[in-house]
Amino acid sequence: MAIRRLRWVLSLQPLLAIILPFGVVVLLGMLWIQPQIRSDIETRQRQLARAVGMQVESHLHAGAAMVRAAAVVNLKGILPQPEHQRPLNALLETTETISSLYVVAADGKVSDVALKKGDEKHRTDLIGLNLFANPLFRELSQDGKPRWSKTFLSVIHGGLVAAYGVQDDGTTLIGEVDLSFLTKFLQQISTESDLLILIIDQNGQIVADNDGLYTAQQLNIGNIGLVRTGLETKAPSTGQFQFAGRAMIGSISPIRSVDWHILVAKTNSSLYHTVSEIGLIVLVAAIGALAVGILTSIFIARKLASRFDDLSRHAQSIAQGGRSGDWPSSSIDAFSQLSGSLQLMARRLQDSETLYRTLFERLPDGVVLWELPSLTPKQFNTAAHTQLGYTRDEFAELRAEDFHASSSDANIADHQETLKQQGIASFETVYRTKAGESRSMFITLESIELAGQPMVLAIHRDISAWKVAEEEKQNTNELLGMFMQHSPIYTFIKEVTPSESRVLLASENYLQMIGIPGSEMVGKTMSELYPAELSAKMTADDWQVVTDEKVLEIEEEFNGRSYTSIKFPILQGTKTLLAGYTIDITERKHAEEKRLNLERQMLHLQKLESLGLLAGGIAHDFNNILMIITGNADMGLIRIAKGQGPAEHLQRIKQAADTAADLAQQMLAYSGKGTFLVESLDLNQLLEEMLHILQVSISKNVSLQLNLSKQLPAVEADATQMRQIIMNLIINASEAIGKQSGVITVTTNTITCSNTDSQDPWQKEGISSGEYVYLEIADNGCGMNKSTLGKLFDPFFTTKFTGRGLGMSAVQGIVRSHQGAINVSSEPGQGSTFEIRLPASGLPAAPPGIKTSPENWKGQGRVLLVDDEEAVRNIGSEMLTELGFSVVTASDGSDALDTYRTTQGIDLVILDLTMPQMNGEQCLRELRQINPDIKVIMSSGYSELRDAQFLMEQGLVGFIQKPYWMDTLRETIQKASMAV
Amino acid sequence: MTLMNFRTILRLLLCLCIGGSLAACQDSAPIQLGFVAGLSGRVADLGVAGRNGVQLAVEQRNAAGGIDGRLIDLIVRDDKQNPETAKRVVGELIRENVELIIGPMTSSMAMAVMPQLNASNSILLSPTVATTDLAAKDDNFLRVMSVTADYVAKSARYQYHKLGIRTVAALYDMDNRAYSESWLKEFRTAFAALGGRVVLAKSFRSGNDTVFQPLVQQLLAAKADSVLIISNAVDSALICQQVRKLVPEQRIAMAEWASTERFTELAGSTAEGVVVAQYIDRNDSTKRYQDFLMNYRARFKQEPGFAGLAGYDAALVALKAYSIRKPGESLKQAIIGRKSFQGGQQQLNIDRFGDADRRTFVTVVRDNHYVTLE
Repeated sequence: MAIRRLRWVLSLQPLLAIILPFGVVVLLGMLWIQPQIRSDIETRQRQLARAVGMQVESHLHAGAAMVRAAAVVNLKGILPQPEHQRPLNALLETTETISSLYVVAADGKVSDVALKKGDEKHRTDLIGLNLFANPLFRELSQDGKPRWSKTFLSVIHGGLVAAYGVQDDGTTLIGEVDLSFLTKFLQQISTESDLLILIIDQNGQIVADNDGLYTAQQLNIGNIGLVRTGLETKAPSTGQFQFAGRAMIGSISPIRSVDWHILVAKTNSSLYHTVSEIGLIVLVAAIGALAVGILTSIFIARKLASRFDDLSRHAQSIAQGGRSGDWPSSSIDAFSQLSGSLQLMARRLQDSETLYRTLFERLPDGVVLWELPSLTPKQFNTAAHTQLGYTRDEFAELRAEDFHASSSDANIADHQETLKQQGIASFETVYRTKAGESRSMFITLESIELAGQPMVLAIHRDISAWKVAEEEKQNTNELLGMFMQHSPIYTFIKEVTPSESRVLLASENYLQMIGIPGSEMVGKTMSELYPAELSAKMTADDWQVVTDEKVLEIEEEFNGRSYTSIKFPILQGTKTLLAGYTIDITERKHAEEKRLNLERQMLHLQKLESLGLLAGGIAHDFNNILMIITGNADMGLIRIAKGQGPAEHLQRIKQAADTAADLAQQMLAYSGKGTFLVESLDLNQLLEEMLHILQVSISKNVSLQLNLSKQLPAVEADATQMRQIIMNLIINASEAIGKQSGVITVTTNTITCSNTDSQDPWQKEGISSGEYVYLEIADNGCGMNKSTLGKLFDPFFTTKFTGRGLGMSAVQGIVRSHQGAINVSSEPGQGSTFEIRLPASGLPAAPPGIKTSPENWKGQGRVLLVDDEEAVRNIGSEMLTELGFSVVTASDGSDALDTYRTTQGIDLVILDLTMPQMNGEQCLRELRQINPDIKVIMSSGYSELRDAQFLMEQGLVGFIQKPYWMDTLRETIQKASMAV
Repeated sequence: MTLMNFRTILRLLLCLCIGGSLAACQDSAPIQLGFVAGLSGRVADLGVAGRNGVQLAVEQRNAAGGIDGRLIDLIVRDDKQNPETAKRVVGELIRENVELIIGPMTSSMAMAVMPQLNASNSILLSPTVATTDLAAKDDNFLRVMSVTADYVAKSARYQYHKLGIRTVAALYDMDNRAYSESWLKEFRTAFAALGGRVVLAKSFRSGNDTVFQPLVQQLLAAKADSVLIISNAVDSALICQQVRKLVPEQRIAMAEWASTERFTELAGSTAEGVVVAQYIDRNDSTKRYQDFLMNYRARFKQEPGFAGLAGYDAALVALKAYSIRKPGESLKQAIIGRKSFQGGQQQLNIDRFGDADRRTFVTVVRDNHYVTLE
């Protein structure tokens, strides 16, 4: 592709843009205007020729008319000879067209002649002149028709003349036309200096012209195309012709009466003069404008080109290694953008060059550009020379064979041939380092062309370490294979995908498990080796191992045997591999089961022993209580029979009943079912309220210290049971200190528990993560040994002579029933520390121990008492009646519904929770359907804290635990009556 | 192509175009051929016919491509049979560097212009000038016509031997003095050598004021055997008319100058029997001559006469000279060097003085036509 200078292109294109339209306009103008002008000119010429011809004809007609008139005069014999000369002369004088008039006799001799004044001297010569041979006379003699003659030389003056002849009765009158007169006539009518008017005879000979130049010369122009056409067609014609060395446009028109033609013409230059002038002016102006436009475009092109030149020079300097710097700027937006773009491009190229140069140098493989055919290194990176121990300068002086220590020449030839054929070749070879070491290399060669020169791009990868690693890997694989072959446990390596696990390696002893040796398992999936259900689980487990990247230890059953499989992921590139061991634990499991069975049996025995002990204890205590009750009851009856008051014995019975209730409460507390009235409780406030009673309860040599945390959250707890806990622990602490001086410290705090530490002893208590209220009661008493600690919370376990041994078991039960935990730490002689954690409630604490009803409070209304125990119904009815209520009773839930429906005015229902057929909860739902606003107090022999709270949320107005005293009943009913 | 090469080629092309144009201008410039004759007045028939003959030859040559690709530009000037006019128009042609001027048709005009011709680089090649005053001279005058002596001798011999004429009364035109006096002198000598005698010689001046009857009466009063008219065709016809009016049977002879078709036309029946020696064989039936006649008649719708043929012959000689001229050779040298040229009818031999040797024919007018007798 031809290279052209920008300046030339920028100059040429505007030139073309200017010149081409100009040329087109000029061409169109010429193609259209010129024919139009010519057409107009030819039209004018035709009109002028016609007009001049008509004038000439008119003039000649006048002459002809005169000859005819003379013929009349002469032939009619108006006057005899020679008198008729005078009228002939007079007639001759009437016209300038006819210069002489001949009267010719039949023999052709001139009998008379009329001449203009001045020519009369020729009369004697002319009279008797023989015109017999005259062509006009001959033609007139033949047909006698008046006619015009051809031109001939006049005998009078020798000039060219034409004649008009008339013949009648043998006498011919011939009038000669002086053609010089025609010339004068044409000169008169020729108003334009450059107008050419020619009168042409039938032979093409010029008869007369307006210049008089050609008239007498008898110039024949019949060879001119326009004249020839006019003579031949005898019709008006217009066209161009050459005459006297000038190009002319003319029109020829016939003068029919004399068989002459009139030719009117003007030179082209004359005709087109005005147009030419205008055209010239326009052309000059256009050329001037064109020149200005061209100069301007050239100037602008130069300016534009110079800007490009500036950019080009700057780009060249950068290409030659110069700094980018600031590129030439311009006020033209396009140039400015181009400059900016080039600057950006240069910067990016430089950055790219830097990047690729850095990459080139930092590549771990050696890269060498070998020149051909010398095989000298043209360019190479750092790795190329450092991997062989040469410096850069040393390596630059080397040739390939200087460090190529490989095999045979035949191989090299093969590689060269491959390179030649395919343009690329790869092979392993051995290089020698500068120190003489052999390095295994992987060489990749590629034929390239750089700046038109063929070269070879070589990449030298040092694979020495890789080869060593491969060898080691080979050895390892062999070792692994031997291990797998002789492993005593089942070992495997699998490749895992979401849908299958495929064996890569397996120990040979799988033959024992599944009947297939490990070598034959390779490549098989779990579904091909195991039953469907097991294989699916195994595949799923395997996938979970590799996706979670965690070790999985699971037990599996297969063919009646138990196995423990330990699987762990192996991260190896993109492959998801898994390795593991499977151990046959069938025998061990059997042994474990046996051991567990023995333990269960021992526990059961222990439980039975504990239950026996517990039952024995309870029976013992209750027997004692019953002894008191039955004894005092007998004595009371005896006293009544004797007419004495049984009050003392009744009081003892009541005390015994209190003791029994208390014992029952302790048992419930031990079983975790003691709490029944939960409220948001502030332990700090509770402790402060109990401070006095606690100080009274402990030995005087023991001091009590409270470390109460501020902002202690509330706990959802039963205040009574909390007091029980605190009291039990404080009393135990005091007893542990004994008669020595000691300190009991009570600490409260807030603590956050998390279950991330599996070794945390609190985790063993099963508490969940969250915020807890921490209560610690510590003493510096005698402490406890491990044996005592192990049995501390066992019911009826005690180290004291007094006490039933239910206190600590009750404490544990209460704490657990509040979803809390208790921990003890103690060393003999080091004191003991009891730590209790109770879940913080987040609710504000309610002040404890508010007594709402006075002892003389009476109620009113009707109460429905529902209990399946008749005795309870009886005593309850009496108590309610004592409180001022009318009472109706029901024995179960169904009876209660019927009674409620049929009895009017029931204001309150006291409903037993545990009843056969329909329990209290079911009955409550039915009653609320009958009356959503019904007030119900639930009673129960033992309290389920969870159920009580749930039922409270169902609309209970109160809960009362059996057995209940009158005060409790009164208080509960009063609270219920205030409930909305 | 680099820009440099393109510019170089462009410059070369431009130079070639300019040079070529200049050379082409030079090469293609028409050859200017002059023609001087009396195209108006009483002797216009000679000039017009001579011009027509030259024009025919030029048009034929131009139609054939000209001479070496150059067309011939015929520049015609009318000397009006006036010496001063002749000098003026010839001077114009000389100043326009016209190398060769065909004409004039009359000896008196030739004599008038020869001094300026001899002082120039132009030459005169006359179709019809026959005066002996210009014979055997190394000058710039050449002709394709024999000198009057040739025609006069033949006419004298014929009249004396064939017609038995012993006495002649002559009437001659002093306007063409060089010719007329030369013709008369030669005739007188030749006729006297035979035993005849010119008993009377009257001159006149051709013009509008000339009345011929008195002259003719004087001529006839000499009662010569033959009347000899040495004048142009128009005057000769009028003189014939006058002679026949007075003496219808009078024998008349005339110089070849008047032997045009205009004479027979104007003289009519009075021309019957007039004897004239001329250099055109009216009976020539050769193809060359017949072709010439055909072409001339087609072109000009007229008979060429001797003047037309003479003009044609002169043009042929001139065109031939242009075509054969060697570089550095003048046209005169080319003509004299070649010597022999083919005319429209006969071979022309031009000697070293530029005088031609041409056959002469004795003709008589019969029935308004020239008939060759010998």
